[in-house]
Amino acid sequence: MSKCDIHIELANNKTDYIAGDRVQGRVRVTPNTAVNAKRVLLIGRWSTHGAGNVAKGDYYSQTMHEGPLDPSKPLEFNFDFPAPAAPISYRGNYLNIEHYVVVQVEVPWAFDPIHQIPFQLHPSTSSEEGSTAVPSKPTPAPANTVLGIIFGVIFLVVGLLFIWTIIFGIIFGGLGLFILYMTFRNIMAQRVLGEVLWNIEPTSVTPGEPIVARIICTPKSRSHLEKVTVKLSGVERCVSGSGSNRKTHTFKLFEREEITDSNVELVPGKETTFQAQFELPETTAYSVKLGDNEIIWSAEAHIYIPRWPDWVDTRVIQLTPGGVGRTRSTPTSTVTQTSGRSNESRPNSALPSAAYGTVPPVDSSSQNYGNNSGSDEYEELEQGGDESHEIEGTLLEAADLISHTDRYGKERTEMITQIGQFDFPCEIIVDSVSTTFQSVDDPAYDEGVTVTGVIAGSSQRVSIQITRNEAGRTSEVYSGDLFNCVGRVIGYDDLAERLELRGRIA
Amino acid sequence: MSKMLWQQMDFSKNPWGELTPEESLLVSDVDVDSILSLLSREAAVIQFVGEKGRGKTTHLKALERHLPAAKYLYVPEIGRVNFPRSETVIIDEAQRFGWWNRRKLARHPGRLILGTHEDLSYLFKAQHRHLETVWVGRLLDSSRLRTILTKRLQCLSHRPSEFDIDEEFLQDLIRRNGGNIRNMLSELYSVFQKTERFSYVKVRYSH
Repeated sequence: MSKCDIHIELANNKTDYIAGDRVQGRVRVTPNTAVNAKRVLLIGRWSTHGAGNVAKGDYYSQTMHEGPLDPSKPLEFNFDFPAPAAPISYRGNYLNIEHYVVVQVEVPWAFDPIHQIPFQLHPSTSSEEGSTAVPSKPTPAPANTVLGIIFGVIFLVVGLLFIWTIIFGIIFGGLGLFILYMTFRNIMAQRVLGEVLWNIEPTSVTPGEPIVARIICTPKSRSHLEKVTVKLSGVERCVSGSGSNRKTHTFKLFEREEITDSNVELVPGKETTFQAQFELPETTAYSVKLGDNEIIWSAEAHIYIPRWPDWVDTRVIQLTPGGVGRTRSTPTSTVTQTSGRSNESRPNSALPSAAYGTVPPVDSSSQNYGNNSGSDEYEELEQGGDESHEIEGTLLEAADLISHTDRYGKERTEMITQIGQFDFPCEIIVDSVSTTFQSVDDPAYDEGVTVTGVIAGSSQRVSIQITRNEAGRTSEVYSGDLFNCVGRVIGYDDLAERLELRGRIA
Repeated sequence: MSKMLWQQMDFSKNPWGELTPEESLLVSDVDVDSILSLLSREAAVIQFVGEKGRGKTTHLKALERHLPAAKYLYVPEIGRVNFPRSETVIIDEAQRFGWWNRRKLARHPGRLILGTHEDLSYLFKAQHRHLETVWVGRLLDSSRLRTILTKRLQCLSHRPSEFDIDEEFLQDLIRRNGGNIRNMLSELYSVFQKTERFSYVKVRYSH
């Protein structure tokens, strides 16, 4: 039995607060025995959890009682403190940020009885507070260049000294050359491009807001550029462990590359401007740095010069809360977005606003999927050859059938093979869109996208792989969108309880 | 924000993520008393041998808490380390020691507790010292894994609860990850973070 039972109750069972709200409630501490307590503390605390080292901070602390606790006299008190402006609650992949009301009974020379209950902090509708500032990454300073030269030369010299060992010579020499290349890359590039100026406006943005990247150069000589790109990306970066035992976990939340121009001829002395415009995604992944955990948004400009070192530079962008009122929706999870060229057409057909509901399977030979939508009738399907296959029911029923077969037995494999011969129209409420890597059995899907979510109108999780050729059409698909597609069942992930499909956009 | 699986199960955070040092001690399932009894002899050496993610550091950290006078040394991959001067020395990643420090290790007159990927018993053979080798993670079965995972769940739960983890799921975890508990925790973290339903872990709340 613990020394005392602590019960915390938030007023009206409210668990969602906006910065500046009053967090109110009541606490009851019931000692089970005489506790020689020093004091009872009420604390307002934020804390990270996930793959990175835990970071936490207290923004409110009040002593509610001083002295020993008597089992015959339970302690009761109300609390009332302001919700802070930051950090905003977040649930991501490797990083989560939570707020807690904590009650701690301080007992000298013993474990402190402690109890906490979580609450969610949302951004204020009016303020743009909420982010702990991440300093803008500077363009390599002269000091960095000097260090690059020193280390590059040292490694190169060591490599040359040990060239007779071949392996050491190649490793150290190669490393030295690489460091020198990275140090001088932009300097070399500017011999062709002239001085390169670039900026991002604004550098502090809210979700859904556009930003403009502008790159200006005045070349010294006539030259040709392969292309100029600007890449916007957002990542969660969490570090676990310490010292040399540190491990960095990185998760890409968002990535989009825009080609501002390709095959450009530069005229000496003439100022050339390249411009790209992006719209930040609707997300709650605001820029933040809490101990070893951070969310970083950045833009990388890249000028590709044929047969010459490229010019590359990165700037950090502050993504700050824009207020509840202006957000389109509140995605509950992160979105990985990879797009192709900006000049590719991005039809909105991937985002139909069809009614939710289950839909029956259709014959793979039929391309007229739309005609079957909304029908409650099951179709009898026939494959070519002597063997006819009948399948009745919806994708949901297929998922149910598969999930209830023995996952280690032949029955499931046979069932998936059988069901996998038919195309099912499917409406997915999108959770995330990510790039598909290493589709070994069908290269058409390699570097395509995988859309993950739930079948509309149900809680059945589903993922569908889309080919590389169609990947660009998903560039405007975000968490919470309705994604219309047609796919064949290729498997069932028991761990995630998710039906796996492969198909195309309807 | 929709409720994540760990919230639905009444945890204040994803129970499979990184823990604070205090939480790590609470959830570690190490039979400290029996290990300490092995160390009762003078100049005893105990080595925890196993691949990464098997629980060597968990064992060492649990022992460190019970041996306040002991010096704890983590050997980095690169860089010099000074061999600690103490009667009892705990060394993590001892296999990274070069010949010079291995020589010091063999000559250390006090008690040694080692976490290592390779069997270092040959260092102590000539000295007739009492040496115990614990192969961490080698004998991980579903019963042991259940104990480890359940203890973590119970320690991090808001209220007294009982957890029922599916036997087939545990065996599947072991089959796919070998004895690498760290990988299993990482996999469970992803599941609890990304899914809203998970039938292999059931919770029953006590009153």
